[in-house]
Amino acid sequence: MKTSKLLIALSIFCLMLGACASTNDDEPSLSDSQTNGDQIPSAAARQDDIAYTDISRNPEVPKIVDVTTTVDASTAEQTGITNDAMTSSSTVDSTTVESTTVDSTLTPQSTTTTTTTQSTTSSNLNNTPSTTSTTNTDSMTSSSTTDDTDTTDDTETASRTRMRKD
Amino acid sequence: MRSFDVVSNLERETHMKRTALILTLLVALTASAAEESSALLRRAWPGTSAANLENVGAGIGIVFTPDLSVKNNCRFYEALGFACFESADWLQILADIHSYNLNHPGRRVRTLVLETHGTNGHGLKVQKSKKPSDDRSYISVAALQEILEPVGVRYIIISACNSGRLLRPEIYRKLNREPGDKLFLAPTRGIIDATEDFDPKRTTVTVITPGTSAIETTLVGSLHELATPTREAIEDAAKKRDVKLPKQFAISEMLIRMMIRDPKLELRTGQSVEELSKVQTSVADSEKLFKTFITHLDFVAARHSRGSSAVAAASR
Repeated sequence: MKTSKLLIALSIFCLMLGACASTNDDEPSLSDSQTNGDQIPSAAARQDDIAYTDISRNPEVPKIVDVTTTVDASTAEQTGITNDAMTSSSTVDSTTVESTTVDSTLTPQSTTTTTTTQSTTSSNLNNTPSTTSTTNTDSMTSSSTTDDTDTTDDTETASRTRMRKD
Repeated sequence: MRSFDVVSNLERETHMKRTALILTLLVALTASAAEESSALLRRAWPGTSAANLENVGAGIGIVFTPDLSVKNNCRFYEALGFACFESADWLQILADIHSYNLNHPGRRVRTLVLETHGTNGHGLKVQKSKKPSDDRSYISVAALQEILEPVGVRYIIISACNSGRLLRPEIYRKLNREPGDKLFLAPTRGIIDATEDFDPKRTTVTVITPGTSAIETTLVGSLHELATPTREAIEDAAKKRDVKLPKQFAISEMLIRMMIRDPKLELRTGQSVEELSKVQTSVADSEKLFKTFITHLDFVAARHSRGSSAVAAASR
């Protein structure tokens, strides 16, 4: 009898747990996201709510320690770091994958861009694989809002740069 | 004999009930964990599914370490409504966030996404490059909470490698200066720790990490990969904010998963991990994820365009 009561109690608990799991705040509506009305109080209210502090003047702000302004070769040696370890980048790799991109949204002059290359490794983020074979007659022109000074070309769609966040 | 059968039947019945109850509990707990990730993201980053492209990043700040970024990367995010910060000096980043929230009361940063290094779980690192003498600084997770709480930040999402290890009690407040890891390069711009006064139990800043502590990856994409209407929508958004778009942008896989609301994305809070992981997404999976992101942007742009057309037609 006691066991039955225990089971009933556990069942109720279980149902409540399920109910809790499915009870969530709903995705805010478009107006919410645009105005942040429910999450961003008025300026006056915010001033009451949050005391903005000046990071550089607040004595309670964590102190900066161990600042080293210059690092010479001997320092690097002491910490077991060699220049070779620095330059032989294992965290930035530009890996090229075989892919076929068909952009039907471009102008009729646009054609299929097919690039097939071998994997390459480089520490230069803007490095373009040297073994690319690209045919691209994309006639889309850059908008005035696009930075024309960048050294990017259209092969980026086929050669994706991947960076390890280690 | 009959009473023995009755007792036996009762025991069997009780056993079956108990098994069913345990199974029900397990199912409920699993569903609860999955729902928890989803709910956590909705709280930290509300409204992204309903927003148009120029407001996708409303209330969200992104911190980029310069060596995991591309030229003028922040402009891409600013066009999408994010607040973006990029520096190899944590003090500069913190000051910039502080300044942004003061100067943008209607769009203050409430959630901060860290696109930085995790240094194998030894500290949050921002750096110009791997060259030893280049600018580089570190900060502990507790220090971030302590400094950003009065600024108005409520969630910190860490998209760094082995981020669960950053919450280990021994380095949560104060980083180890000599962890014996070759990735822990000289802190030419300093290390920031939490003060002795910081009480993690009283902070209102929630730290969110991926469900699995692993090596995170950042991808570089081009605006030319977007459909023309999408590109035009982003260019319009950039014009409104007086921003000149770059041709390339850098985005982490975790940020993609959050933006597309990937149901496979697992998030958690307050759980440290000891184990150092070398697991990384495969090239093929990265590419697949990136294509999904492009499709998502195209979808959001098309949806907004349709909405605008409908409003225009109705007003005629």
